[in-house]
Amino acid sequence: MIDEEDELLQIAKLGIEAEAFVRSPLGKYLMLKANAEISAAMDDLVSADPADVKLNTEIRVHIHTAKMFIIWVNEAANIGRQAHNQLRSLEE
Amino acid sequence: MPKAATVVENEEIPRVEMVESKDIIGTDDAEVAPNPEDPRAAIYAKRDEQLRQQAGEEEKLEAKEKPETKEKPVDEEITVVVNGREKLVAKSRIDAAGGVAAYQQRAAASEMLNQASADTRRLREHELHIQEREKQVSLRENAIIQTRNAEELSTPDALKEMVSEYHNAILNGEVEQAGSMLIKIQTTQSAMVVNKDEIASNAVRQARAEMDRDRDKSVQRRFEAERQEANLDFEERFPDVADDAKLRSMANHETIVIQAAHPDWSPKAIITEAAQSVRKWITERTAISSSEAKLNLKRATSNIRGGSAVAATRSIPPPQTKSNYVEQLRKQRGLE
Repeated sequence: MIDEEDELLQIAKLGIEAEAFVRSPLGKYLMLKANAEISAAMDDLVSADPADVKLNTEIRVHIHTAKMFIIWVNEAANIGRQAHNQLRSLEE
Repeated sequence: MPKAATVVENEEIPRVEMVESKDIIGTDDAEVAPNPEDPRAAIYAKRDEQLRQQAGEEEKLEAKEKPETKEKPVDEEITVVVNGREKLVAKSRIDAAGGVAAYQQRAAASEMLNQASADTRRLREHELHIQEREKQVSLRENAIIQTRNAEELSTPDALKEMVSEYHNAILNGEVEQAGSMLIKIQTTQSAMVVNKDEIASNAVRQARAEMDRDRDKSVQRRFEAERQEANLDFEERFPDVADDAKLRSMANHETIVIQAAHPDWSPKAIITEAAQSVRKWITERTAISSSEAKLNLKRATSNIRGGSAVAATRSIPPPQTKSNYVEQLRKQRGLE
């Protein structure tokens, strides 16, 4: 029980750090860069030759990398909130 | 000298006696021509002859018994050198001694004998003095040893060396050195005794000063404790005076006056007396009834004492949980 609470506490603290990062100037800049990369890559993907498999693959990798950055940061923040809620429910 | 005088008159004796006989008899002496008609002349002449013979025999006997007296008539004095010193000596004495050389030898021998006897006497006195000093030294030595054994004092090395030198001097027969060493030892010991006394007196003085300081400190601490206790009692018993700044200052001033008047009073008595005097002054000034005064006192009292009052229990904050900790972290990071 104690170990579970400690683990939830560590996850909650990590989520706090993720949220704080997103709200920090660096986090905001990287999120904007990631979204801009995704939109640009989407435009390239639309205008690219469908028969050019290699070019389409590179554009998709760019989009996937930028999305994964955003997903991982948001995922850490969301998991932290969930851990906090679980802690509350355990203490009640 | 009387003998000499008799010897000097030896040659004159017959003449004197003849004069006396002449005076007695009333006739001339032998030098005067005898009267052949006087029948006593032959008798006198015979008697004079007997007297002369008798006197001559006595002179010879005395000369034999006291030959030196014969020198007396010669009053000449001769300068004789004896042991390098010149002195005038009667010639008769020199002749009696058998000449100048013999007299010089005898006189020199006599002087040397006198000097030798004087030296011997001085040596005896010196020896007695040394023996007395040795007795004193031995007594002092015993005293030193007893003191050392009794007090188990560690004698300084310098003193030990002096004592050993003194013993060596005594054994070697060097009396003067032993005496000087003894004086040194006594001086050193007296100095040590003085130092011990001084040290002891200093220690006693310091201890007394320290005790006085401790006593003063304890008195001050006791006085301060009593003062604080009296102050609390004053605030409890005289709240009307204690809560008013002006009256309190008056009471403070009154304590100074009372303490000067009664220095033997305790702080509590002084403060109580001061507060009572201030309160009395207030009563006299206001000239109100006692009931009103009590009422005013109650009104002026800010420290209300209640018998049934119960101290409120402080709310104990709940123990901090992990969720609360997380919330605090979120607030600290500005996330909520």
